[in-house]
Amino acid sequence: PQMPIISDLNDIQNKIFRQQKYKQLKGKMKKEKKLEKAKLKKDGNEAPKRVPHTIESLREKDETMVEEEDEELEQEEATDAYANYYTKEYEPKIIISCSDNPHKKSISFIRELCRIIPNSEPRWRKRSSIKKMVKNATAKGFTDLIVVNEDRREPNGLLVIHLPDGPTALFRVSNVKICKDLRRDFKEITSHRPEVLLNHFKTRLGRLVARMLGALFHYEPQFKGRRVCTLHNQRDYIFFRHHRYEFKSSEKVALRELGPRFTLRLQWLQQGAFDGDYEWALKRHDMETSRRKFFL
Amino acid sequence: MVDVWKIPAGFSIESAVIEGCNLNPKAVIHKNFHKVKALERGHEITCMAWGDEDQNEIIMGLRNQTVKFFDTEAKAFVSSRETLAGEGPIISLGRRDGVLMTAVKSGEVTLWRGEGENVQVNTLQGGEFLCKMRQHPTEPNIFATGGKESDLTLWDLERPGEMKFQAKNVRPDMLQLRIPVWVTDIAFLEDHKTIAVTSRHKHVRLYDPNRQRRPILSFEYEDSPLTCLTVIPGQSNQIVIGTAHGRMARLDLRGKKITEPLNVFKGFAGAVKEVVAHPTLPLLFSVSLDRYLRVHHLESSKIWYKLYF
Repeated sequence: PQMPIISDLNDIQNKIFRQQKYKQLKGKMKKEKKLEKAKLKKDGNEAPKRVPHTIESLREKDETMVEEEDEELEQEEATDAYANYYTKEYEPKIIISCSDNPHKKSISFIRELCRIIPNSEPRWRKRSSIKKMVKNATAKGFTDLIVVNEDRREPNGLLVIHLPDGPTALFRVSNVKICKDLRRDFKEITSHRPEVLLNHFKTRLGRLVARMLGALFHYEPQFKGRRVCTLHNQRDYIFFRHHRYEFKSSEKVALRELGPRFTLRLQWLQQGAFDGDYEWALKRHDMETSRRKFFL
Repeated sequence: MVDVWKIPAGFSIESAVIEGCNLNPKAVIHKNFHKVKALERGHEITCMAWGDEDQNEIIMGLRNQTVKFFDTEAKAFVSSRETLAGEGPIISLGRRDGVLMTAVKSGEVTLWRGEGENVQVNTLQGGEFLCKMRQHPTEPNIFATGGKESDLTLWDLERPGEMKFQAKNVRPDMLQLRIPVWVTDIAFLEDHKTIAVTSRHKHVRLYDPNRQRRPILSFEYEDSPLTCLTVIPGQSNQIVIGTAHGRMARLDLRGKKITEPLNVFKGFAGAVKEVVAHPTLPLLFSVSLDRYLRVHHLESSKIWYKLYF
């Protein structure tokens, strides 16, 4: 799709004159459009439905976009760090920790995360370094480690480490609304298993991030339950929402939002559990050159 | 012809008209020379090198300690050979006068002679594991090794028991703490006297084996671990280093301000895994973990070509 061009008028410095010309141009365009529509109607055709320009529709074509049924992609995914998860060789067991001296909001956030993610345990940080935490957690049989970072009394970062030397990802967390802010009770989050939805992860990198986040939950692709966790990616921001289905009748279903609401933005992705080479790092000056280029 | 490799991909390119001929066991580029479905974790290519002077053959070392031979004219795999020695994947390979030499992560460097005995050198004297082995460009029997907690050491194949040269660590810092060592890449400079070394602790060091055991030059570059190093042919004092954060810089080792790069090559989103300079043209070929092969112009640091694989 092409961008609409209004040429020449931008060069006129005189504001009043410019606005007049613009008005004239708009009037002319409107007239032409009307004539066209009338002509099409006379011929018997309806005007074709036009798709509006949105940033998503104008997204720059990325070479790393994944097409479905890519043989080498399948092969690669069969041999990467999450292959065990998808063959159900292990069940995820997670530690959720925070930075030292967390405040009320972060504590509630962690408490709610522990309720959402099945098989997870909260732990205090007690000034231990992340490398030590990784070593000890692997020794005790955990499969993933999540560290919530806090700044200015609010959670602002999420470090997800897949344990037996898996990839590490740092996300910047923003717009956190804990259950209390949504006027819900965190006890409404039951221990039923949630359905997990991972939307719009289109590139290779996005796919890897989706696998990382999805591997925190249990693996059952066609699971139908009462709770659903959605991780929706739009323009490189991942929105987390948590709902419960309310079956009012056999046809009507309502969604009741439970649980926290937050957005994630990937900062970097590293091979190896917190030490290793960076597979992707967000470099704003180099990468944020175009408003229509996204990486996930 | 230039040869560049990366974990887990390996590929080679033809120069001048960048007609890419890429080999990769896990991703398709121009051509995938492997049967994708037949691949496993153990078949990961961990290192590559040219098989002979005319650059007709490429030898690849795999994780399960086999060596595969690929013919560039026939564009097919010719043979493979089991070279079991020590433990761990093959980290470096070399072939000179038809004789193959492999280095494994646990430190054993073996010269595989067809007839007669294989010469084996145990290069890990108290270190943790080996990261790199490089053969001397002109002298046939000398090679250098380096690894984690295993500083640069020169060995002679004719005397496998003793070290020809072993580097000494720099003096402890102002808190009297020992500075750790983790050599990631070694390069013999063109004056055939000095050896450049990069480490994962951000150090760039220059050694002269004839002069002293301590490095004649040692400085830190930026904040992230340095992963690769290459020498620019024609200039005996310029090197290009790559970092784990995706920066690549050209440094002049004889200048007054050594830590300031001559130019920085940008555009990487992931760690730079390997850099190679073209022998005649001013081009730099680099491979990074974000699955791109990039060709940069040496002086102007502009990207000339980018290929996703």
